Amino acid sequence: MPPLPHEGTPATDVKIAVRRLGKVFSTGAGSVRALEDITLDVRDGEFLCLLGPSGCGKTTLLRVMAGLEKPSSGTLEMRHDDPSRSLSAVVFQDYSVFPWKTIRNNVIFPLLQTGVRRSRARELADHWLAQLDLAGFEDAYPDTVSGGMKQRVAIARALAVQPELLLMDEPLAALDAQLRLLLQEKLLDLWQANQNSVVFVTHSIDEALLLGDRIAVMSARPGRIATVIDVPFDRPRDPDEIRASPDFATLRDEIWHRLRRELQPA
Amino acid sequence: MTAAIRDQGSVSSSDAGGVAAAGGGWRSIKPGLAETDPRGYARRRRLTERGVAIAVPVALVALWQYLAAAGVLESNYFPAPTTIAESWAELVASGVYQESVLASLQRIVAGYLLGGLTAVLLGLVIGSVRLLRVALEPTISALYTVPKLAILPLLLLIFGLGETSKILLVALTCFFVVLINTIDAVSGVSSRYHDVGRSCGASRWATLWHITLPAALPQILTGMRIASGLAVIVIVGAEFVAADAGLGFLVWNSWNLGVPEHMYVGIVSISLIGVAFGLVLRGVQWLLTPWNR
Repeated sequence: MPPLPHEGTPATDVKIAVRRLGKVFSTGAGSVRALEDITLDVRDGEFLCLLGPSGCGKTTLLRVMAGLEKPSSGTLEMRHDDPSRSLSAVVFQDYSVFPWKTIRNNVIFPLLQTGVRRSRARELADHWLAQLDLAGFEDAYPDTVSGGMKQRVAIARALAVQPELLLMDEPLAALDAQLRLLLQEKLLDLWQANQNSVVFVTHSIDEALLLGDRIAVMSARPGRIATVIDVPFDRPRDPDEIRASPDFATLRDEIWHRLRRELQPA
Repeated sequence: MTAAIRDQGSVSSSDAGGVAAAGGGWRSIKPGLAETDPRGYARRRRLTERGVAIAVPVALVALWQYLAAAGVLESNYFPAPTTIAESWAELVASGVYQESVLASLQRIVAGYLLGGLTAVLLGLVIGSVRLLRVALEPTISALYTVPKLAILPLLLLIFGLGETSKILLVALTCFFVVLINTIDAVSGVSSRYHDVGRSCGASRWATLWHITLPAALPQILTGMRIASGLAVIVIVGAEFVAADAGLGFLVWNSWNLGVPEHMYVGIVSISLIGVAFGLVLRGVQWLLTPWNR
């Protein structure tokens, strides 16, 4: 049994406190236990990866954090430090950019919802689009650009509101392997410069090791936290160096064996 | 078994030699006309396509003219296109034509806008509020299937022979088509877009304006286009029996008076109005959904 964070009042450096959280989806045919007895802390300013096989409920957990689903049992508490800032922003797995808005207006949209003036929102949007190498595409419609660019729009849209907490649901899953590496490096750079708290859902062990401070490994059906692993690499991280290091290989094997046990029926 | 992959040189050399002995040989895949001269190819194709689109109807009319002049077609039923054109000019000169077109157009446009726009507004509300949708959908489906021409007598009874009854008939016809399409479009908006709205705290109004409406717009406009055709169809029917002006009236009255040329003027004009209406709506679609261009 992995060591669990202590119960009760969350510690001060805790951004999200998840306590004995469960989620059951009821359908016509019956009910599915998506999450069971999840207890987890997300600390201030940390990059936490939720890693697990598909169907383990990691997306559901993220959606509960985003306020898009309510838990069936247990609680989830989030600390909102600065009321003038958005608490959270979400990058969704599929290309959830609006095809009917230009790339700039996609990024402006959430800013306007948080009360930013239009001219300021436009500046911010252009700044974040440039950060994600999308300068020059501001007035294009999303369907005229590639999948990788669309996903960068989605990331810019989330970053532009400068949320205290960034929730990312397999944001790179739909991209090809090379593009994925490039965007991982981009995310690493951006996060190192901005230091929001991040919860990052992924099914890639490499990605979790490269990006995360800690990795919460989940088991499937019902989704539970199997173990939480501290990633020992120092920051700022150099992706190439990390991938080449022996620690990386050791940790990857360790996590893989752990995951394989979850995937194989006992 | 020959090697599956050869370098460029060997392909072209075998190409020069053509197909070798029976049973074996090279299949050569080379650029065609579309690849060697893409611009010229595209231009020629465009010209050909436009050409046939115009040539076919022109040829049909010419054939009609020829058969009528040769006496093959009974002139009482199928007057020659030139005869129809002459009577068209007569009707224009007397002002009857303009009056008819204007009367029909006014009813179509007024009824269409009234019915269509009301339906879009109501559809947006009904489509986004689940309880309303569940409560109203069966009733709407039932009312939709009633042929609207069948309730013309009822409208005449209530509103008399004036313009109101005819405009309302067009409005009702358009209303249900657009309403059903709008409700369908709105309730079918992908939840992932709504998730984005919810996750950034968008208000109900912002969600409707920035997410629901644009996401549903292509299908709403499809409904509007279907309705435009129906509006033309239903107004002609109404004018047959309950009008003293309009293109429907012109056709019907020409039958009563035994002037088949005038009937054709009316029929062709109705069809042209339908075509023009469709083109206008394509333009509206182009303007309102720039991301689909």
